Amino acid sequence: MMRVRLRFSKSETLRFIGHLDFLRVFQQTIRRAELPAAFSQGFNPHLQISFALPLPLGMESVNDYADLTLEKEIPLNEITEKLNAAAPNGLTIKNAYPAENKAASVVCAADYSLQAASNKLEEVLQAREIFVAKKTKKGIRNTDIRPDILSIESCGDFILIRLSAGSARFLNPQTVSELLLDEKKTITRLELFQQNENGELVTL
Amino acid sequence: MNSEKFLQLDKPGRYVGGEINAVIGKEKKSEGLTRFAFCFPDVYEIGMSHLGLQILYFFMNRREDVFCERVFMPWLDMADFLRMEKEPLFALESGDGLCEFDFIGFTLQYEMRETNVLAMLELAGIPLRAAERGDEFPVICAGGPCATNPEPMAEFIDFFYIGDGEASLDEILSRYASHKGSKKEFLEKITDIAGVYVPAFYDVSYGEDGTLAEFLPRAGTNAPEIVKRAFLPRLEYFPETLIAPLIETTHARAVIELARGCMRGCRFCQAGFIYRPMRERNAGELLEQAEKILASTGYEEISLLSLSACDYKNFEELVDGLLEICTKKRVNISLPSTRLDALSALAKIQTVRKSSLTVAPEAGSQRLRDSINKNLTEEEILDGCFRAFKAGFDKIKLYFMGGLPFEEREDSLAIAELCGKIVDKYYELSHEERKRPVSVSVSTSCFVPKPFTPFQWAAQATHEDFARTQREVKASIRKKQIAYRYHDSKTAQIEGVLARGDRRVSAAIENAYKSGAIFDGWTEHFDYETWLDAFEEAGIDPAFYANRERSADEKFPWDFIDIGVDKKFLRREWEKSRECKITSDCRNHCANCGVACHVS
Ligand code: SF4
Repeated sequence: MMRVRLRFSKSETLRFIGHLDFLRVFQQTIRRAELPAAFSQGFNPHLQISFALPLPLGMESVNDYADLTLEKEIPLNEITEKLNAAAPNGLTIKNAYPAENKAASVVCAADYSLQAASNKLEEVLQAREIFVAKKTKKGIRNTDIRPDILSIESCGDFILIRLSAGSARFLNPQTVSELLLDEKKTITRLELFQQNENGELVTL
Repeated sequence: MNSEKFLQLDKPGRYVGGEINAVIGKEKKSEGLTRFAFCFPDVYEIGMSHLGLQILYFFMNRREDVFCERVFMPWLDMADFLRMEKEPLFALESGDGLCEFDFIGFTLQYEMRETNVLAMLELAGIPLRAAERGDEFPVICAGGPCATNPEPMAEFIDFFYIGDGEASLDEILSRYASHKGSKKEFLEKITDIAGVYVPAFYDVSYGEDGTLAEFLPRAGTNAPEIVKRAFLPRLEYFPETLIAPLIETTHARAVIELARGCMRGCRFCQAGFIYRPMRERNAGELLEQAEKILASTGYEEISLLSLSACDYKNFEELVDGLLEICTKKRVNISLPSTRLDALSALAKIQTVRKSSLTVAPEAGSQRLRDSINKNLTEEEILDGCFRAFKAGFDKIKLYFMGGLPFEEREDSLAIAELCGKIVDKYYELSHEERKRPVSVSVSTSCFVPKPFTPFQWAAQATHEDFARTQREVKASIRKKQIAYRYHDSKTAQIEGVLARGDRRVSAAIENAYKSGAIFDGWTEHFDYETWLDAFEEAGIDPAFYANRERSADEKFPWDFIDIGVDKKFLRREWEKSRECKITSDCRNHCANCGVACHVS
């Protein structure tokens, strides 16, 4: 058995498909690549792949992650090469390396870029609390999202934002975009992070 | 066009192409390229599940000098979007508007998609009627099973293609490549090719009773009096790959075509007659195709396409071979329609997943089953179900048709009776074998008589007849394990007019479209009143086409097509149906249907 983490980007045509469709496209790519993928047990065996964090329809992702279980060891560069040869336009596998944990359970933050400039950056950063209506399991509730805004900076024509992202805490970048901008702008997800033992954010 | 804006649409993945194995970029390569837009008049998810489209797509694209692209009926939001943006309907591969193509070809699989054909033309900025289109517009053609009675669509289409696509398409495309001159001259040039019908070259007249009087090629054209179908004696070509959509489609799976045509001759089934004789592919080749397609698509399921998969001669051998491939690749095998007499093979296939078993007795009583020539006895049904229960199935789906010719009250009651006996069979299992309660779901569809079947003479059941059958079935079902569903008969009434209509029906289709009829095959969009108004406006009585029994000597609008089977044979079958006499299948005994295939 071999658990590998795949770092990939999703763009172009694939932006127009949602998470579940992308999952299927990814599974088919693995099958076409004829990698010795491991399958789940049970009546309806499924290829064992899990994504760090679902990507909403319409959003591109520059550095994204998925964990794949293989039945036997094969060289990491062979995995990358075979997958890229089988991938549809818009999916690029950047590299593969051993997965030491589960991406979906350790991911805690994400970087996004907003293709726009805003003069409200300081205002948001100075605020001690920002209450917005958020949909939760118990209905719509006013929640303070300020703790989940980790940083915002302006960078030429872009705004870079870092937000909580994971199963424990998640802030939708769209919510922040609405605070900063009057109109909808393209959001790109740049990177996903986990915490190391010193509490620092490092990439998955 | 800025595809960014597609993000506001429902399922934008329908409109962006970019799928694995799609052919792209050919238009940039060559100058003398013929561009063909293959149009499926329903949404992407349905069209992409249609194997015929994929076969012809790759068949045409195998030629260097042709680029075939796909076009689907945009959903309502996209149609509005195109109108608002003043952008034409475009093909998925290049994104180019349809007017940039040489050919626009529609596949007519279902009558209730015909208004969508008009919608697609209009969205492309193309006049609906052939007579209104000059040489600046592409050649509009149409094929598929509904083209076997092309007349209701005759006013809109430049030429129809009747028969196997692979048989004559090459010839048409080659003649087009070397053609210099007007569109009309091109159409004249191809009338001698088997399967080609140019409606503008024929004159039609009607008698006082409204039936067809004469149907003749216009003087001065060289159009033939009888149009022979395009026929492929042997199925050879099959694509080595299929396009695997990025979004979920109705059937997202690999498909291999076992056979074309059927040897059974169920009297209600048009496909069973127009594709005669049954032509099978070689098992070895099929297995090779299956491997290639699975490898190039990455699908996790494969299905076997044929009108009656289990009639395939080397079915066991094929299934064994497939099982070997599929176990290795962890691929599921699915069978579209299931014949009970092949349960043993089925038992093997279903080793992994016990899904529900589908049985189509079509009629409740033996008498009516004999009348429609569905050679399936009650004993076979019950025995088959019992074996399926033994093998672990606990869900059975049963399909029946309502409104069959010669149907009586007893036949409707027999449906409930048969279903009851099936439930009883389940309780013959021992207690341990009954893991879950059995569920039998029963549905009745509304029978629509089709051209080139023995029932082409029949009066279709009226709305009241269908409703009576549905009431009778519903009232006679007593067991709680049986769930009953039925189809709306209003759609069937319109389908019946379009199926056996003549050229005068074109006007009604146009009226209906102009009054908003679109996606008529979708219950939520179908509006009966719109159609009734459309008929009235066109001066047409729908009952004349749908609910009238034809006399033995009536001339039909589709009689000028030689589909292979004889009208005399079909008439004999009609008479036998009345007498509830069965006709044996081609393998046992040739019924001399006229195609003279010497199968048996
Ligand atoms: S000619 Fe005979 S065997 Fe051939 S399709 Fe017709 S009935 Fe069947």
